[in-house]
Amino acid sequence: MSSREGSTPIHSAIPKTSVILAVLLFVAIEVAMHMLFIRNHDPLPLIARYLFILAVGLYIGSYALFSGYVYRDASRRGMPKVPWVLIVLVIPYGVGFLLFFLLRKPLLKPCIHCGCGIGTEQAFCSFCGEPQKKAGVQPAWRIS
Amino acid sequence: MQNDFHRRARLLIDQAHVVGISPEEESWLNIHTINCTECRDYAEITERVIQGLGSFSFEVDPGLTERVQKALTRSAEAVATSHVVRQKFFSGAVISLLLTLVGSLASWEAAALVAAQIHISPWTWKTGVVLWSLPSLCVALVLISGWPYLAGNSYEKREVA
Repeated sequence: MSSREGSTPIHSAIPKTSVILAVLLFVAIEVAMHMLFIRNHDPLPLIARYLFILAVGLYIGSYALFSGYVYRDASRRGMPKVPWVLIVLVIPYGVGFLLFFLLRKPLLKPCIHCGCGIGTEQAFCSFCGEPQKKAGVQPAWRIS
Repeated sequence: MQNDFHRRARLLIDQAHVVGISPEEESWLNIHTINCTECRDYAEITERVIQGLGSFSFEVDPGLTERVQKALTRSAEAVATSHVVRQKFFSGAVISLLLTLVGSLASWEAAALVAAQIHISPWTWKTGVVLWSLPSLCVALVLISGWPYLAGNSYEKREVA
């Protein structure tokens, strides 16, 4: 499975740290909540309890994956990484993630001289200062 | 009266070159131009000018054609992108509102269940859920009220324009 924009596979779009963190969070929540419910002799039916705990674990674990994806994708687009991760974490129910998808910038393009990532609208490279081909307003005529 | 005849004749001469005239008007015009030198000269000059325009040719810069085509293509793309971007922002606004509503309800139920297990007072967990849902609700409301503005200033639209 790959993302639509570019050809980055989904497994490389999410950092390994986020995957590990997501798994750890999921396991920790499953264990902690099962213990909590068992200790308190909860009257909830067994299947309902399992489904509930599974849903909570998946919800919190997926946030770690979403954050990792946003962190990596924001850096590929020249957007501030940490603020966007915080937005995704602070705005719940996936709305922060949705907001990121709505407002994200286009992918950076490599500079034709040094290869560093620069914005598609940039006429000059921010790193080497070289002008970009076809950038800016082209003159309608030339003085020969 | 005489002036009216000349005016009508010249009008018919012009019309004959553009949309055409009826046979009755044509016969009337023929009779008039035989007798009227001014109108005959007018008809001849008009005919000559139109022939001259037809044979007139000029070299078009090949780059100009390409530039005009590119500009038209870009303009068409901008219109199409604008529509897609507006649709995307509108869908985003609706989805965010739905996610907020469904998420808030689910969180309310989940918080009630967990709070009963860990013995948290109702007002504490209720306040917690409200505060937790507040950012999501704010974003959903901003998107619902300002999606046309946000769509108009999005990166995608600016990039094509």
